[in-house]
Amino acid sequence: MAQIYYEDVEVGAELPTMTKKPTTRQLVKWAGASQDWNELHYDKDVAQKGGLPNVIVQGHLTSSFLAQLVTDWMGEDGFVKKMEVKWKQFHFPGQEVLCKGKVAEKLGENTVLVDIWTEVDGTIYAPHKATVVLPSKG
Amino acid sequence: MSETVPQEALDMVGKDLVPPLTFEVEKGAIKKLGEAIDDPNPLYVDAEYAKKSKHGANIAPLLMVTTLGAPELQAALMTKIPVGPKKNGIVKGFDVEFSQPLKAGDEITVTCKVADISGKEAKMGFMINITTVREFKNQKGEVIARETMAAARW
Repeated sequence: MAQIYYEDVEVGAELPTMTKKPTTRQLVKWAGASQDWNELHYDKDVAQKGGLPNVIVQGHLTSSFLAQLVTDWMGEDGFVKKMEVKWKQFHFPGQEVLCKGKVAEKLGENTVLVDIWTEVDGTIYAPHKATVVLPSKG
Repeated sequence: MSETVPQEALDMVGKDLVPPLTFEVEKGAIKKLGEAIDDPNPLYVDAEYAKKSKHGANIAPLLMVTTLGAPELQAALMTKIPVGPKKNGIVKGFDVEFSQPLKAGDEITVTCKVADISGKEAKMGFMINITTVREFKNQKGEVIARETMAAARW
């Protein structure tokens, strides 16, 4: 895994975009692994009775995609100090979900604020933020 | 007269919403969660690789810690806060501060308190906003993560 250093990071720099295409099978795997058995995530009848067109992707799974984006970018010597999670819209299985990020601010003390979000067809679904401590070359 | 937050709900501020729960973090559970995300990070699954890393053991995907006790929290948000005949509930988001990674073999005790309850007129009617704070302590009593969650009932 490549390592990034605080000195190398510039405000506005983009994180490499990651693409996810969640399937109902993946939602069931997440349900089992997280023990979140809310039927809205795997039973279409229940989802439709709730007014949804299909089952929905778990919010924590969406956020974990974004956590993966950040941990892949920061390298093994980076550390996520804080993650701010917000969900604006539901993701559905079969969507091509782009996980994107941009360095928003260098906060000093080797710490950067990164805006991260999921996007489908140009619309932002889950705007998150991560505060990351990076190693220094010094 | 406009609707207000029931006093019984306000009385819950500062109290436990869910009793403390303890979870053992198994290596297999970390592997399954990593597979569910489709995140092949060797720190999650490769024992030898993780042993040579600065962590000295397999660590868990970042947000796995927040899944511990999450179903119990979600159930309590819907059943334990006396908000009257409000059928709907949603978790709007959360902030989580980390002080160290969750590791295989950790024994994590989760506590969950109601931090704030307030009411607001919204499009969907009178909405009760609930803030909870959960702390995740390891077997040494160290707080490894602290989550502040915003939820609403209407």
